[in-house]
Amino acid sequence: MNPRTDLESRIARALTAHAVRVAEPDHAEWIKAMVREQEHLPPDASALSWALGCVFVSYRGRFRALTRLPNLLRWVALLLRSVPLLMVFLLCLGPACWNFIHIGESTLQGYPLFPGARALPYTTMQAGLIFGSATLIGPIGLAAALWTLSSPTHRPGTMFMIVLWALTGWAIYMLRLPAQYPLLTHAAPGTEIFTILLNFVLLPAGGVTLLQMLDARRRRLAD
Amino acid sequence: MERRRRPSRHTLALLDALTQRPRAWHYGYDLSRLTELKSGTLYPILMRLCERGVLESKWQPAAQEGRPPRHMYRLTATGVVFARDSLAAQPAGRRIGSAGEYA
Repeated sequence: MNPRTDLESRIARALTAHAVRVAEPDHAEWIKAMVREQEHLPPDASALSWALGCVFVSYRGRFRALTRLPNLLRWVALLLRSVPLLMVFLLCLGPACWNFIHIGESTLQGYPLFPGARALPYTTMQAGLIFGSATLIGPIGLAAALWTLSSPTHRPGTMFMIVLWALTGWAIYMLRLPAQYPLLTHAAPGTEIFTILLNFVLLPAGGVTLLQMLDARRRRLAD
Repeated sequence: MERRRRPSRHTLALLDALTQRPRAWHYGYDLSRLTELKSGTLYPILMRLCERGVLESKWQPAAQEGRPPRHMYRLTATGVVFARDSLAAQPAGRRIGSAGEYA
């Protein structure tokens, strides 16, 4: 088998595996039929083209299932029910998410992250990595929250919650690094230190706590 | 009341291929080759025709050792009638020749 054919057949196998994964239960038998038929294709037939067909049929079935009227109504009802929770999650994790984007952008462009950052014993890239990783809780937590809210049964799971709490701890540790921000001792309300503590640690921790409560509730319901 | 649309040209090509040997079982790839339809077009039609009772399907163990079983399709008795009626109802100008040659 030449390298091109080998690569093509590997891509085809990956595509059919993906098609099987995304298939709706109603379509599973048909996708299985297509995938097994692929195993019988003669050498001159394009496995890649067949596999693309599998993926197309799989997504077509999924899309149709999603846009069936009862499902649409369920999604609208779910969204309406989740709006207050969604707002709380946005409030808690949105600032960290925004900071993550801002730090990423500043780091890539070589701008100082905040006044006084030049005095830190780090290069712009190192400071970006340190403070950027402290805000990772924002995008990761928000993605977990959206995923959890998208279904009445989804839950982040114990391992994922451990990761989120570890990220929260990481944020506290990272923010202790710059000597001019003695966060935990001088963070009086209204000060810049307090705002940083609120956005980087307190609000994300609140979001993660809420997610933890949702996780525990759904686990109890599942049991 | 169920809405009955006129079969598409792809469906007609498939029905034409199947009516060549109406009671024989066909593999998906054979039908794809006969009709020149891609798998992504062929299988949704097969699904729809099976749901409507025009086609029946079954799993056939593979002839070769270690190969997976294959899904096979053939027209049901009502499917044969449906296929002949649908093909006959086509305007003469649309039907060019054998399967896959619908304009």
